[in-house]
Amino acid sequence: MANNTVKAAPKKNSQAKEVWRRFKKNKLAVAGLVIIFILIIAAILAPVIAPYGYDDQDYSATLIRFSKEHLLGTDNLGRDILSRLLYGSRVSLTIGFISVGIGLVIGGLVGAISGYYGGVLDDILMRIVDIIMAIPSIILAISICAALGPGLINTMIAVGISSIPNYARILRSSILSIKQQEFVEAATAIGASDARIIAKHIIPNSLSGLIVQASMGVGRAIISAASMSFVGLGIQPPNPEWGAMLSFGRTYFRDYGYMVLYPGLFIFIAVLSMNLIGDGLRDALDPRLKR
Amino acid sequence: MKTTKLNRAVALLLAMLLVFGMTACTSKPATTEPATTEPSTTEPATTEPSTTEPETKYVSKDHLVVVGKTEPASIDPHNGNMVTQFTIDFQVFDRLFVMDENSNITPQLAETWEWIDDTTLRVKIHEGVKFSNGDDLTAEDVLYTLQRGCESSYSAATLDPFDAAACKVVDPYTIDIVTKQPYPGAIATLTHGRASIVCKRAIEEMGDEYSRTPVGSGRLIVDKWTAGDSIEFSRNENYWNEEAKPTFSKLTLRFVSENASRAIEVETGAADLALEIAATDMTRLDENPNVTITAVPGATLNQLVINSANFPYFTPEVRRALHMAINTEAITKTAYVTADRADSLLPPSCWGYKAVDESKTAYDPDGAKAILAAEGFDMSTPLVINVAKGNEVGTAAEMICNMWNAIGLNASVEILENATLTTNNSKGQTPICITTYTCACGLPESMFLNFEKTTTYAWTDDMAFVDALKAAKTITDDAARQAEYERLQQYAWDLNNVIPLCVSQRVYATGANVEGLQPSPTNQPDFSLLNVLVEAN
Amino acid sequence: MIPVMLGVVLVIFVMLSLSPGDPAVQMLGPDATPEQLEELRDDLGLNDPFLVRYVKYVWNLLHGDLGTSYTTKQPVAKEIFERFPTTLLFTTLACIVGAIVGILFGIVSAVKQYTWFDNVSRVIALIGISVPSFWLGLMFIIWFSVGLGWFPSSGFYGPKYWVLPSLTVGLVQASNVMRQTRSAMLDVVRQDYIRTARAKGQSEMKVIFSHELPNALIPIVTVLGMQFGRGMGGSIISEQVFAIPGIGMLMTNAIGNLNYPVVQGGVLVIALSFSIVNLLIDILYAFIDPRIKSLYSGKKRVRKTKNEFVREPGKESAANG
Repeated sequence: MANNTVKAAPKKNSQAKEVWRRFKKNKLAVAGLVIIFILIIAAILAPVIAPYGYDDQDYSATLIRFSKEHLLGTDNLGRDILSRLLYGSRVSLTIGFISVGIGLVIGGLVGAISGYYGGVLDDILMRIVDIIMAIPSIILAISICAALGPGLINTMIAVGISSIPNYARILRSSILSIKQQEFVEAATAIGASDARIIAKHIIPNSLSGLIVQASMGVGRAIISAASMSFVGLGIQPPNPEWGAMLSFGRTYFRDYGYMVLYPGLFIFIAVLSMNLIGDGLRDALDPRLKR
Repeated sequence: MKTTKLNRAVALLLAMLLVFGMTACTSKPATTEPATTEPSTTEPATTEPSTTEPETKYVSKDHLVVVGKTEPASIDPHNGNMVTQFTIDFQVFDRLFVMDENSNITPQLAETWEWIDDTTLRVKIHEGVKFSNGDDLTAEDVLYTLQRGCESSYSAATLDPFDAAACKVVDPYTIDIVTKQPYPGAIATLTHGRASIVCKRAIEEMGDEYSRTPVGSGRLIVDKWTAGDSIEFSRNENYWNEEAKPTFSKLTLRFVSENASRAIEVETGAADLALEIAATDMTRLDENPNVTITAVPGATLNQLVINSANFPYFTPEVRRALHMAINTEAITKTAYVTADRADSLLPPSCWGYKAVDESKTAYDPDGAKAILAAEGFDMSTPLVINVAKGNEVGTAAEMICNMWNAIGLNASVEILENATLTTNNSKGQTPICITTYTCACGLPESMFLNFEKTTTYAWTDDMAFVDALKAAKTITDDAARQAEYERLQQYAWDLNNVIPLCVSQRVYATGANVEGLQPSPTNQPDFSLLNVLVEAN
Repeated sequence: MIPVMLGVVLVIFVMLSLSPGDPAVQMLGPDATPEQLEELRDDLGLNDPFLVRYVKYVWNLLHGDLGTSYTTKQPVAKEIFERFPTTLLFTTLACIVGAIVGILFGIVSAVKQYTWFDNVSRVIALIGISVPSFWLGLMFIIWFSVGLGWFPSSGFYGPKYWVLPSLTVGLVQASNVMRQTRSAMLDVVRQDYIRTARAKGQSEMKVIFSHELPNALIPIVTVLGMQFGRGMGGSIISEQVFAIPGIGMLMTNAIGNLNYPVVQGGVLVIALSFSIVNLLIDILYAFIDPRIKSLYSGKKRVRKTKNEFVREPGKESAANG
């Protein structure tokens, strides 16, 4: 996350360093970052570190709570839950990051255009955003998913679209305030193109709000996807998305609570880490903050 | 300073959460026991009969609570297409004949009946039967029921054997019921929920409202339907048959879609009877002294359907190989649990059932692989197993997917909204799916019905087989019909368009103080027979 | 608001018209003949072009007609308003839990910043916003319903039944409210007029409740409004967990049955109530905004502008360096 800031705003290298310095001081945020890194590495290395494949069924070893071979037990098909969770971090993190990416790109574009140009365009775009915002995001996501059909990509699209208004509004309002500042006026005065001004001046300067929102958005996206799996939309089996595992385990939760507990904990830890990072970034990006 | 404190707090909380969570699932028996031995804590009305006090007198509980899974959209017998509506129709309406849980047919409204020729059944109904609106139930109503039933798209297929136009009223309490051709299953078909006798005048007056507040002659009357939640019934005080009147005066049927929650309702004593208990809850409920579990072999076959008519690459040999690669024994035990492995296309409770010779399709993954190679089947062909939402069917699909992939096939699972799958299926657009098919009225032809719909379902392209099916149901000689159905079962099995997986059991959970449950194999128990004993005050 | 609602209808209309599956087949069952299906499709207007259907729908809508449910043949408006009170009650109860717990903990946390209480409640709030509410609901059922037998696990018939669902959703909302309250309070604490109040020797209680809280109310009320909307939307999930016969349950079933009129009506009603709540909150601003109030009571004006009040928690201004 912090590294991205460096790349996105090369001119502000020293400021990025400063942000990173402040971020580092926040031990919780660093812990969150470490956990997310571990999860990402687990996701990448899942085939290497997972003791079993995610769909290795063993009907002679079903519903084991704990054993040396299966540290987190097995599900009703005798699949190793730990392995599924590790593979699941691929699916869940992908959904989290990509859907935020979709929301960020589209929402950011809408917000940037709307905020920069203003006028009728702004009115139209913001009315559309108002319409999307009037539908609670989970209902929107579920309706989109019902329309597109289930599956990984459709889930990401559904979650991504429903988060567009968030990003659009944040970027728009920060652009509106930046637009008034002298360096933008100066760039306009020397005849810089609109695209250049947006890309070089406006976006880097309004990034901080967006970054914080995005890092927390990853957590929210993971929960949204899990919620959709919970009502039976979303990821298709045997794909081990955490929410789908949780949803499936719910039939067994009276006697085999661990089938619900572990996926829930993984979702929780991932989302918590993203929120910690978000909190930390917000504090670090806002130098005037309480200290 | 602040961060380290926060760190410690986080660690502590996480640890607490973990421990809490762990104890929640590891020390489960210890935590559930106190709850289950004191079910009265949540619902004082269902105090358990105590065995320590022999003096206690018991009386019948006056207000029963039943929890079912799915709420029907309509309880009009000729409207709506949800199986659960018949559970309610059976309480609210009477039929000419009824079938008990052992497939024995007994008369209900019919007093006497005889076949006056090959296709005409003359039925004399009881006099003095009244609908809940006070009208007399006459032969006119029976005639109207048949005519309406044969017209409605929902019920027409079930009542198809009857020639509604030819049926006629002989006298106010006698009717001639005519079939299109000699049909030995006629009386059995009249036990179907679709053949529930409706009130002509009420329907003509009420229109669509009839499906929510029906007027029937049954033992229970619908008082109030709270959408999404429950239906309240009261006893029909004017029921024509004194002996069949329920012992209770009120019954609430609640709809709780979550399996585990239905189990909890019985465990905590909040409900007297729970329908459709899932296998996952069965063991625990069985160990609970306050709950009685009743499981009966069902009439519902879970089957994998391969559509070869529209997807010709499923040649007979490929289908056989796909069948051989499936370990149905494992699927029965692991996915369905409370089920019996299917050994025919008919469930054992069905008339004419006979276990088939499975030698051609015995489980043999290597053999399957060899056949596929010999057939030159393109192993990369995507085999998408379509299923509707549901735990058991989803698990079964995952297992089949896994088994097929194990021999190098390219299988995947797609879980669809129920409505989407129904649409695709009826248009013949689903290459592979898992469906359930329930035997209606114990008639073998009901299990083969979709084979006959070659233009829609397109289960098979074997037209000779389809013609044989159409002919079989009209064979009047029982022995000959039995022999023909035995042949057809074997033929259909080797056709491998339908691969039977297992026959689900119907599991009912009642409070230990509940008597009189008639465990219907089709999930249609007669509520009026229930009798719940509670201590007299 | 009306254009927004028409837009909502359009969005949902577009999405549902993309849905696979045929409602006619679902309604008539697999045994229907193609002719019967075609007839029903004509009756339902499913064969009409998209725009015709949309205009018809909006026209009926303006006459208070939300259409007829495909499955039950009942008016959709009737079905929805039978269930709406349940969802409204559930969401309101959850919001009350969220408001009371969230504001209380937020205030104490802000007042006792960096004490153990602050740290613990901040961590709990962080956990609260990170936990999937349906998971929390399942855990609550395991502990309080199955384990301890305190509360029923499903249904919504009376206060006893309300506890677990309201707590589940309410505690998640409380976490959001707590974070917002805390940061809003901290924001206010650093203002000069608070120092002045303290310097004048006013009691701590008076400073908190007469000076700090009123000035921090706008962001708190804003977040409460958002929580209400999220609660309404989240009912589609939480009503599943606790078998609550509300709008969420109605819609989940309707989605599964391709019952378009009910899905459209449900989304519309939820969006409408969400918009009304937002409108009420805008009106409420006028009552609680100290600057607007001060216009009438003649008290000293606060320096800040309204826009500065409402924003992300923690993005405090530079007032205190």
